[in-house]
Amino acid sequence: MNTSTQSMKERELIALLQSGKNQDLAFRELLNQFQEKLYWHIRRMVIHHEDANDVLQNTFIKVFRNIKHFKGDSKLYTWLYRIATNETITYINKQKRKMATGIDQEDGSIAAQLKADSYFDGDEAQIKLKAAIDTLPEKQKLVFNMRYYDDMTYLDISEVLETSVGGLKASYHHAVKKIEHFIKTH
Amino acid sequence: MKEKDLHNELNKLAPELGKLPKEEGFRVPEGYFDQFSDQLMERMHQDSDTDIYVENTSEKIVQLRPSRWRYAAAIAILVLGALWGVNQYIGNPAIPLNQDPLAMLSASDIDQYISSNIDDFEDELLINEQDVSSNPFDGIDFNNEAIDSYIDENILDDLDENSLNEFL
Repeated sequence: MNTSTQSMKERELIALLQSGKNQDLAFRELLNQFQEKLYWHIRRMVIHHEDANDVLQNTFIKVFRNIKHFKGDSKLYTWLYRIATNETITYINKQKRKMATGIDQEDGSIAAQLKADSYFDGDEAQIKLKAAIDTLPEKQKLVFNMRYYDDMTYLDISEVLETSVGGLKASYHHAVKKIEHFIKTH
Repeated sequence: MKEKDLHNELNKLAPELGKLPKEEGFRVPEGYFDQFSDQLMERMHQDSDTDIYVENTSEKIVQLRPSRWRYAAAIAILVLGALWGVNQYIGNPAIPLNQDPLAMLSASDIDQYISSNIDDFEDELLINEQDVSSNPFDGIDFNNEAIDSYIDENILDDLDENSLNEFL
């Protein structure tokens, strides 16, 4: 499938979603196309499956409510990533507030959490990499994940995070260097 | 940027990281992605803001905002009700259009209605409507015996001990 066909299909999908005619079918198509990508993007940030599921649902509900405002200034997938990213950050901040007030208590390091997670069966190297990523500030974490795992271009990441490409390159380089250092020293 | 370029970039920046496989070790429950859309649609169906009315699950889901439909249905029912009422009124020869429908009611019906709905009437309305041309106590003998008898039958039983002492 070439790029022009993809963008035409994308335009058709957006038109259906915005028109209200067969919106249900278009929405299911949107889910089929993007649910997995967005799920993994969210899961890498929130770690646990249940949390990722909640955030993914919230993301698509927000997409459904706001699709009429999508003007096509960016790619559909970067727009979806932006919503997913915002929902994820909102969720993480809520969790942090709950933990700060003692409503929710999550004990232990990221390694301990992953080992206790029934939906994680990674080895020690994978746990170490997750622990290294966990040391990064949120924005660097996002940039690293999108570049390293999703192979996204800096331009697309800049659309998602609404930051300059230069700033993103610097963030990614810092993130990679920190992770490399963590891997070497742990 | 192609995957090869990304790999080169990573190897230059962080050779140790570049050696690691990208598999993450995360799993999802079996069938999670197959069921996700149904799970989400169910949640959206329950939420009035994003309600999706499932007309035929295998074929089509029609997106509605049922609150609007409920309003529309309520308005339609009211309009139909009003039309029916007018129709009944016009079509009923027992009540001529030029006659006040209240005139058809008997005095006892009106009394019964007022007694049952006395709380709905403003004091002012009751006072204004009261017939003051005649004395309502006409024909009643207010001698001491009658008053004592009324108090015995209607008031004493309702008084508690303290009130009774005050009263005495």
